[in-house]
Amino acid sequence: MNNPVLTFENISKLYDLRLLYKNVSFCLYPGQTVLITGKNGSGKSTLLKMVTELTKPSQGKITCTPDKKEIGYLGHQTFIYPHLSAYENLRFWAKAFQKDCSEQEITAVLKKVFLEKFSHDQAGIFSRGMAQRLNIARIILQNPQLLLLDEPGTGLDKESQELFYAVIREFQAQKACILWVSHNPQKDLSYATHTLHIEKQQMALTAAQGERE
Amino acid sequence: MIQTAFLLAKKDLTIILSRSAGLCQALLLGLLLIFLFSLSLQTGEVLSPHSASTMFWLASIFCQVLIFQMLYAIEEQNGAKAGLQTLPCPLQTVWLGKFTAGIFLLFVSQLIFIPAVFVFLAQHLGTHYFYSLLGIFLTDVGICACGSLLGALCVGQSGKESLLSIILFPLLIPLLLSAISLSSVGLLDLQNSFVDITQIYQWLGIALAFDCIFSAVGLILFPYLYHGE
Repeated sequence: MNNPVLTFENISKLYDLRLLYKNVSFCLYPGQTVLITGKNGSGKSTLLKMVTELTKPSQGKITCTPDKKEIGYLGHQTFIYPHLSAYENLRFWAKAFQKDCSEQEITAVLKKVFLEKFSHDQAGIFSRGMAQRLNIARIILQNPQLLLLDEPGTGLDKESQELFYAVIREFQAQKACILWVSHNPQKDLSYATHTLHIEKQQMALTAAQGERE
Repeated sequence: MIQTAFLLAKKDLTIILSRSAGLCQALLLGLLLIFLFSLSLQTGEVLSPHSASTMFWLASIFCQVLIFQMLYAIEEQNGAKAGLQTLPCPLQTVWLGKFTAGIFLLFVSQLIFIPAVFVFLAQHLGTHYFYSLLGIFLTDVGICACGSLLGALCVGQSGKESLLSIILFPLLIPLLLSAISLSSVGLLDLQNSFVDITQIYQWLGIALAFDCIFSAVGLILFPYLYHGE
């Protein structure tokens, strides 16, 4: 088996004096798509934030094999600057993540997310669905090895959802490791190779139905 | 880190100069201060270079507070701040990027305030204006280093905490004392034309020392302030 992409060692996390996890350990490998399940407030999003260093674990150690520029985060917040155009937004985030993208590459990605007609329009006028498609374009350009998804499908129309699932399949084909908090776990389970269930301050990593068969 | 900081600064300048409303507000506030003070002068009354220089720095400081609030407010929309925190570079990059954009905007503002001081406060250029320009540069570095740190603290907070930028003023007093003294030597003093060059170098030394202190404190404390943990 390959080296793990992500390792949690004895992780505990206190959030506002509430213990979310206690001494949790697990490893994730390239090619795994892990759907995180659990009740509201169980710490699903906090888990992703710990991986991106947006918050720190109270105890334990998290090891990420890929470099920080290879960790992509796609949440319901789009990171879009409303006063920049769609093209300028993508160019900024690509450069900030040290990806050397040509104008043609950016234009091609904009075309892929059906925004080529709006590439020079200010992103502030975009609808929620268009803004999230631009956010997906940002992730495509970043091309991460470890992809963290925090309910990215919220508010997407059918066409945008199809685009999102197509992008997920592409990352799966590239053997990226995907850690996914979903607002619709029943539907998204078919894409998962594993589930990570959070309950009573513990996590259980199990193979998904299809994987077991 | 420096490359990403310049990228951030370029992005911020593109946003601020394209919408221009925010910068205009800061410029108008500064100009209004200088203009209102000029109304207190009697006809034919000449203001001392020290007083004129004080008005210039008062306008610059208020403008600087608005500039940094504007620069950090950009990151509050659509969670861009979280995006910056996930970048593959130290968080100090954000401090440096905002500092670079802030100092550029402050220079632009001062290019408008300087003629306003000559016009509204009836000042004339003296012979030692080189020291004044050097003093303005060194002071701008110091106040932007401090402003970039405190701007991060104030944005996204409730109204009560947004007044935290007021703590900037006491911190800047030593730097402002040197700034006012250095700026005034560049203005023609009709009552006292003697200029002590040794004292000028002492003020320049103080400005440089405070630049180093504020820059070091900014670089050390910024990650804790911006991360919020």
